[in-house]
Amino acid sequence: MKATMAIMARDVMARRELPLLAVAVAIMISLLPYLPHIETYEATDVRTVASSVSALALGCVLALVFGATVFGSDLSEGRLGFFFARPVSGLAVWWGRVFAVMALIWIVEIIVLVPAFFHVRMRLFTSSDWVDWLTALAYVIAPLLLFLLAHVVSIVVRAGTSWMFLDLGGVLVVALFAWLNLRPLYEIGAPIALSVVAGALLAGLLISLTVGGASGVAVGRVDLRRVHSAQALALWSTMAICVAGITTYSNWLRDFTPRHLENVDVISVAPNGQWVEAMGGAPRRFDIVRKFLISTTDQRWLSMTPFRSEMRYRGVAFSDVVSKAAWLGDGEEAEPRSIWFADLDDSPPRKRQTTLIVSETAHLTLSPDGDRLAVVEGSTLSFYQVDNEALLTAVRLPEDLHNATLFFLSSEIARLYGATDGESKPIITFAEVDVETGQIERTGLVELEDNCTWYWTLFDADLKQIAFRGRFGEDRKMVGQIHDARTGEFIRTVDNFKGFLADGRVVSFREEDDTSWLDIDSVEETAVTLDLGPWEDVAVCGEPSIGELVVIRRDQWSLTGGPVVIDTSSGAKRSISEDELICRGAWQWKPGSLTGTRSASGPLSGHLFVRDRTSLVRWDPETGEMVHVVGGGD
Amino acid sequence: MGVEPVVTLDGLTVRYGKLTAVDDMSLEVPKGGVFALLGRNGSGKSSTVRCLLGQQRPTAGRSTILGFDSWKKRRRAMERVGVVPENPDVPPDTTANRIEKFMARVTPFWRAANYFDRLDSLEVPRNVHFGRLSKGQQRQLALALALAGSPRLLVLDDPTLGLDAVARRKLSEEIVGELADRGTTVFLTTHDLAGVEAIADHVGVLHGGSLLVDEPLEALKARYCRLVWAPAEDVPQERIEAGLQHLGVVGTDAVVGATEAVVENFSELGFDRFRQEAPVEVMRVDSLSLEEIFIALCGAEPGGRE
Repeated sequence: MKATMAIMARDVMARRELPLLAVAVAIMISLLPYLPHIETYEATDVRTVASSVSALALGCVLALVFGATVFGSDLSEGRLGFFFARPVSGLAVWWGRVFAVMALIWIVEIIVLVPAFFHVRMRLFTSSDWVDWLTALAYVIAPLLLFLLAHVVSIVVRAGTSWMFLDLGGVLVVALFAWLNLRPLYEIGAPIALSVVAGALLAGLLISLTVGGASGVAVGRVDLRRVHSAQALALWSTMAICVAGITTYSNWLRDFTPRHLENVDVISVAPNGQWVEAMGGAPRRFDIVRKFLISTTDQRWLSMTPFRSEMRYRGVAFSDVVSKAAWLGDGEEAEPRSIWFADLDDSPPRKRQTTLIVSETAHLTLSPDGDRLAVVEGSTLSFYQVDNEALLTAVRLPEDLHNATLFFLSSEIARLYGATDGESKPIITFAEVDVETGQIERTGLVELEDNCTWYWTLFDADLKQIAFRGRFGEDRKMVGQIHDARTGEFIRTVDNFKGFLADGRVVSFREEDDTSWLDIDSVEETAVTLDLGPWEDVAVCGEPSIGELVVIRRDQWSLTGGPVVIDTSSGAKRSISEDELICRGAWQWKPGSLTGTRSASGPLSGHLFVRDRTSLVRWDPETGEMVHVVGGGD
Repeated sequence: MGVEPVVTLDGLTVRYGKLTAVDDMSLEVPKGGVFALLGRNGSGKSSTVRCLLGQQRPTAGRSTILGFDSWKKRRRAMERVGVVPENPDVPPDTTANRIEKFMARVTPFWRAANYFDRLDSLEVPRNVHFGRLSKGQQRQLALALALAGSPRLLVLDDPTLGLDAVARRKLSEEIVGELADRGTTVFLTTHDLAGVEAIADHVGVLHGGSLLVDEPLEALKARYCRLVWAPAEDVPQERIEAGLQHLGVVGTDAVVGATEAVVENFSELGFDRFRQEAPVEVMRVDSLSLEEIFIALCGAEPGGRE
């Protein structure tokens, strides 16, 4: 250490004029606001910008110059022997000279920053913004990195030995690995993880350059060729270790299974609730999010292509019997996407990328048996056979059905709903299409009221009724306008409409005399009225089986209690859980111009809940327990 | 003997790719005295010195200074070693005063008074950057640095290069007088053969990377001489050549009115046998200077003798 300090002191003294140069630059910067044309700007801003830029630029230029000459020139001119003829270690020679140069550069930067120092300091010490600290760190790291780079390159160029081929190969391999590590993180839209891995690569580069530079001088001593060989060996072996470690870490960051998910966002649910499309992050994985298809009843799962943030919420299309799933792959913003299929009955389930390429706005629908796929791309509707990817038919959609929402009624017939904005009112076109021939038949039309506020659309499970929920009429009450789902014929208006049951009956909410009621009725049947007690509002979560209704108590927008199962025949209420849970299996979301949801039915669909926004649980009616499905961490 | 040598080279080999600069070189330099390593340009002297100083790793073999492996224990080995390189390598942006401060911190046996006394006596300015000093002054400063720590080994790599005649004489006197009195061992390489002849106790001659000679200077000079004889037409050439074999002939040459031969193993017994077998009229037997011996050894192709 004594020798290191002695060498450092010697080198600092030998270049002691540099701080004086920095003082001159700082004085010039202080006088800048008084120059013609510049005096119109705010003096503090001028000084801050000029000194910040000058300090960094000067630091970087000095680092490059010193890096290229401090050891390189001495080695090639035979002057490094002066130090090696003394009883000092090679590492002392390296560190002493590096410390000296870096100390001088940092001192120069600080002096040049003085005109803006108070302003910068205020920002640094009053701001918790990490960007400010990162900027400050750049003044330290950038010159160090450039110095080390310039030193290493200088040795390579001056020595010119055949080790240069290792250097060139090393640069290419490291660049390749950097690309392989960073690109996936960029593609899946994880800027924090990307920054961490990029920072790790930068740190690895700094460490490798330091080890390489120090080893070169310490081992090669005054022999430039041996300095180069020792530097190359140390640099690239250290880099190999760093890159291997970072690659392993980067893979670990990206590769996790549903078991590791600590927060879960359930994007779509299969019609019977047996599968869910869920995504979330895992502990210590920063902002990396992965998507999976996860079985809610067994341990099976399927990873989906990593998705960029803007594609994450594009839902999966399930077949009604839930043997198949289809989704769009990832890609650049306006890039065409390939379609993926998954066979969910297989164990383990299998996915495959098809040769079908569609636009990024396309939305997919699978036929009930999963054998056929409908793709709506703006003005085009195509039907494909899933097993051989053959095109069955493709038709151009009339303007009022552009980007229509599509449902399969059977493998042969599909229904289309196209929504367009009329002059002042929404117009919804109803149509059916023959899958084999592509022939389109308009079946109905609904014109909603002038200036109504239409919030969302709900279809019943059998696609017999469609409800437009929103504020209609002169009193602008919150109602559901129920129409025939084929013809559009108006059926009735239901106040406080909550949803459809599997048999087509309508659920609505009513308050009278501090008591809340849930009415279940249909046009034909007498209403069943359930006494809920003093609840303000409810959300219907589903109908797992006939006669069983799952609801969640809700005050305005917040949940205030656990879900309750109501026997629709007796009105008996049974609490499922005291926890505040969000129902997640009651509806399937359908994309298209008539974006809406479809009522789900089945034993599982009403029993899926999200707890604390972190985990998906399933209520087991037989045991009365909540079974953990996914999320909440390992 | 029983005294550990100050310098040992044991099978020292240095290769640069396919070129062998030093080939399996072994020697020992005992304490005290002056060892001169001679050789033509490119003979491997500088590589040997760099290996000896631990600045370059030999391809094979090893070297020690004061018992320390000069590559592995260079730091310890260099504690009592003073070095004057062929080209003074003091950083050019440093003055004599500043370099003293540095040396005082890294050299265990540093004596500032020695250093400044020497600089003053040679009128080397203390506050002028090393790069602005004359070559002679640079070399004097380097020598002052090397000697100020009272080294037990002084390594001088062509120390007279660039020095004027007065400075060369002064250096030679100093090495012979002062250093010998202190018991400092001197290991030097030089092309100044006349100068080194006056001060060296022991010489080694490197040629083409091989050590041709490693012996005391006096012994070397005793066995090398030049015989000059008058032409003798009645003595067959074969008898002359057979006689010269007893003296280790290095080469023969015809000069005006005589024939001369340089021999490398001259002895009274051998000379008598030469005269018995070749009854020629020997006009004179000349002893050779170190330079003549060196030329006889290294004057031709690598490998030496003509």
